[in-house]
Amino acid sequence: MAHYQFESEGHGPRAMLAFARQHTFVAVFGVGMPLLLFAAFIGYPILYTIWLSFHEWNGMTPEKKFVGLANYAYLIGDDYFYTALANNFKWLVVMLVFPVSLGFLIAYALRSRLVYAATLLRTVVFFPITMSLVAVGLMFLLILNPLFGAFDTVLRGLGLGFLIREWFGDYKVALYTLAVVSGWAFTGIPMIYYFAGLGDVPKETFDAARIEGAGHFSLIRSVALPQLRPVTAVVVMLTLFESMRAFDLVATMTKGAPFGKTNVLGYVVYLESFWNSRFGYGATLSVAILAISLALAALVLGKVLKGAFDD
Amino acid sequence: MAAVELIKVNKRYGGTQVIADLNLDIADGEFTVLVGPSGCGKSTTLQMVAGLESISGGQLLIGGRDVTDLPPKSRDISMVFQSYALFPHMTVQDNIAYGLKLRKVAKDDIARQVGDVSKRLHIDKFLDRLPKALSGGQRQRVALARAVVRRPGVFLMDEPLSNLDAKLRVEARSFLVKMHHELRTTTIYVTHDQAEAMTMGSKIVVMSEGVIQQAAAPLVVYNAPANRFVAGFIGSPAMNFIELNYADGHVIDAECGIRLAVPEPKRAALDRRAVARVVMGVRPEHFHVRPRDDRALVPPGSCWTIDVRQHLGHGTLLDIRNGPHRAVARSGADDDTLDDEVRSFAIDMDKAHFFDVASGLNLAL
Amino acid sequence: MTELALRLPASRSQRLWRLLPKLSGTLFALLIAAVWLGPILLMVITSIKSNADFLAGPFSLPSSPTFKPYVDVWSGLGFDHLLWNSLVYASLGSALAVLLGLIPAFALARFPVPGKKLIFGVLLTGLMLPQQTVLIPLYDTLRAMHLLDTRIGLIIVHGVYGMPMQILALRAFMTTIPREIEKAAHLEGATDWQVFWQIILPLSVPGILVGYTLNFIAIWKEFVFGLVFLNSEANFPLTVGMLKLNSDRYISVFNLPAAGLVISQIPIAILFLLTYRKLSGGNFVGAVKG
Repeated sequence: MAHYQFESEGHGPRAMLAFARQHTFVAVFGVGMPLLLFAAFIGYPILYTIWLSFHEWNGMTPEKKFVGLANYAYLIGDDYFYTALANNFKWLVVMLVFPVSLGFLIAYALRSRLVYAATLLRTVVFFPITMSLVAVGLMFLLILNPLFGAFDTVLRGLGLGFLIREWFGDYKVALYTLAVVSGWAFTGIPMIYYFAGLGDVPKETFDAARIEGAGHFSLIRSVALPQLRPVTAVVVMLTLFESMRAFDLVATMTKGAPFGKTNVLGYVVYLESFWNSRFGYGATLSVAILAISLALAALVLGKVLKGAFDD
Repeated sequence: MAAVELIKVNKRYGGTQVIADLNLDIADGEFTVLVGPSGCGKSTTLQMVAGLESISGGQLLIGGRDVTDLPPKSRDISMVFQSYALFPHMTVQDNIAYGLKLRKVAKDDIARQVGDVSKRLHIDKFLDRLPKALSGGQRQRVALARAVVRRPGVFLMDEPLSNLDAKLRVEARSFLVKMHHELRTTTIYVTHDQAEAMTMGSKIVVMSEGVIQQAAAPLVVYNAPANRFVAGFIGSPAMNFIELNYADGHVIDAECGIRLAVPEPKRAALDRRAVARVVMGVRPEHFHVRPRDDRALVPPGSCWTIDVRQHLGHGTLLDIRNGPHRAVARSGADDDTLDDEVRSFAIDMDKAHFFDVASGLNLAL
Repeated sequence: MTELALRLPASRSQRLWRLLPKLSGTLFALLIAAVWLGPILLMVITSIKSNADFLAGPFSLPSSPTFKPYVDVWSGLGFDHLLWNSLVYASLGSALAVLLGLIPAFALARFPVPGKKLIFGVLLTGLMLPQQTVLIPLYDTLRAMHLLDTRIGLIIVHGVYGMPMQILALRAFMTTIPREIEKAAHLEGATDWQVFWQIILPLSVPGILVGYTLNFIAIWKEFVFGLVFLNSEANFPLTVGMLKLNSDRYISVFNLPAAGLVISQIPIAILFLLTYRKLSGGNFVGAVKG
């Protein structure tokens, strides 16, 4: 009779075979199948992209011409790439500052009973998460319109007319406009994560600090935030992913204008591949994005591995 | 019906050995209780018999068959879990019938057997309900029904009464004993409650730190404990342990005025071992408080000071001390002692036990 | 909700002083509410204005509310197709993702799979991947399989890309099912498949609903894949179709795009209101935390 396996007996191929023999159903559909799908839909595409980055292809005819490192050489000299790269980082900074801290403050205010109609507030801030970024983009196109937009009218009404800029036309400002809009839509996510996280923080730690005389500022700094580190880790990761995906708003609102100054990396890939029919170079850009994303993720994960993702 | 044998059974978790060379024989039809404090290995042993944990070394025989490497379903066992483990989304009927359905028993037979068992256990009125609509006691009986209906060779029970309140527990205890009388199925029952162990089993297995301390009938374990651990674990309030010098057939603590004669044959055993010091174990009921005016019979060295009196209604517990020695004594409902009073106590030396100071072994067995 | 504020008896000046945080908190809340609710309310109001009202300024109230913008935009963009397509992609894609994720979640939750940590790592990579990295090869693959510009193709892509998130979320939910129930079933003789189908699956229904809803919303919002893998207007989901609203014909008169926005949001808003309670609870937050 075959040895009935109770627990995992180590790792390595022999263990895997033993596991597969005893738990066939689980091994096939629970491990084999997803890994297969992964290989096919993620692993293979990544390898293919890397391969393609050394070729030229117009996406229509089947020929793919090997050009070695030519695409990479071009990449190094490509101004659009650098602009887009810089833009991605500016975007990331805005996203880390604005929605994350505001989301936290709102969650804190809700938990501290500092506001009335808390549920309403929570719902209202969370609602944009359900909106597609295309819809958000369109909405803010209308609001930030220089002639009929509500935003400029409000500024003028408050006497802050001097702050008005060409939100989309002025290339110094346009990217930040997009990033702030993205932040507006995203704030709900850090908010609920911090809201849930604050619920898990033991109330006594706050009480003890309050008895010692701590005001909200100290409470946040010395009680709330230190105990929320794992949540912050998750939130930062999510913000990172979200900002690397900054495609939708660019495609909707500016399409890269003016002069490609609001390009982000993802959009450049799209432009080069599907508009300029330079799929090979598009692949090269994709490889660059992948490398940067992995580096960033490794950086954050490294700082964060102390328990945020325990199994 | 099946006998269970554990032969040199070992259990290792990673590098730690939690159970070493455990040997245990359970006769067919016997109700055996594994009892001990948390972490003593009783649940682990049960899980190994069940097949829910692997056996790192040794053999397990059920009904003469070697089942060491077999999965649970091939071992002809059934189990009642501490939390009952009822399937929350199935009716009582489906819960009980689950194992039968898996074994492809005919539908009519299933209905009949389930009806039979549920009537026996007084849950036949609940067959269509979901577990959440039942009380704790009812749920427990459903778990029992599920275990019984398949008529396995061995019942395994993992602290099934722990989740019941005290009154229900007593009722459930007698219920289980009655059921065992009817069905006569070999049962292995795990509990941490020594009272349960004493009242239910035909054999008690006291465990500590993965090792069987003693396996015998309840009264044997109570009256002839193999070592200090068993003596102190079984019986409530616990046995009193008093460390004394031994010389000349007497246990002595001169400073406290204790000098008590050790009766034969225990005296011969102690002499043979040539011990200088022993731990004397005396159960609370073997301390007898002497009447206040009975000065004539006061032998030197049995005077104790009363610290705390606890009236139970049917009797009294007295916390007493003599120098560094502390003890608990039982007294009658008519107890007349006073706080801080010094009274003399007679100790029933025939019922006293003597344990080795270092190893805890009962020296006079 | 955790009550973080201590209640101590206070003098009158103390009471006034304690009012201050609540006052500033309320101001803060009003500001936040204005910034978040404002744009949406504005859109709704704008969408029922007539052309003349629109010229009167962004905050003017409609003198005679009209649904004509809705009618125009509905037929102009073919909203019936767009809504239907989005519904198909979201419901079927989400279902596929859940289906694909169930058994892996079960495997990771309950079995000592060799190399579990590695598998987790791979899953997380799948989540982190920027979509653009795989756009091109996926495009090529779909083209080779003649799935480009087909509904099936997009559904498959969404299903597979939703799978990692479902695995993590469903796995976290399954670990809350008491182990003893599975042990009991196992003891009675159930095979892995039977434990999964008869025990785990029925008990996972709440978790599945949450996962499905979240995935539904995510696909409804999704834009890149729809844009790249589809060509014919007949197949476009809402997000891609709505891009047209950024053309001169529509963007110059606000009430039309506003109406389009409102239409696109109604189905999700309904779903959101129905399920909000369950979604913002610990469930999916816990899913990623652990």
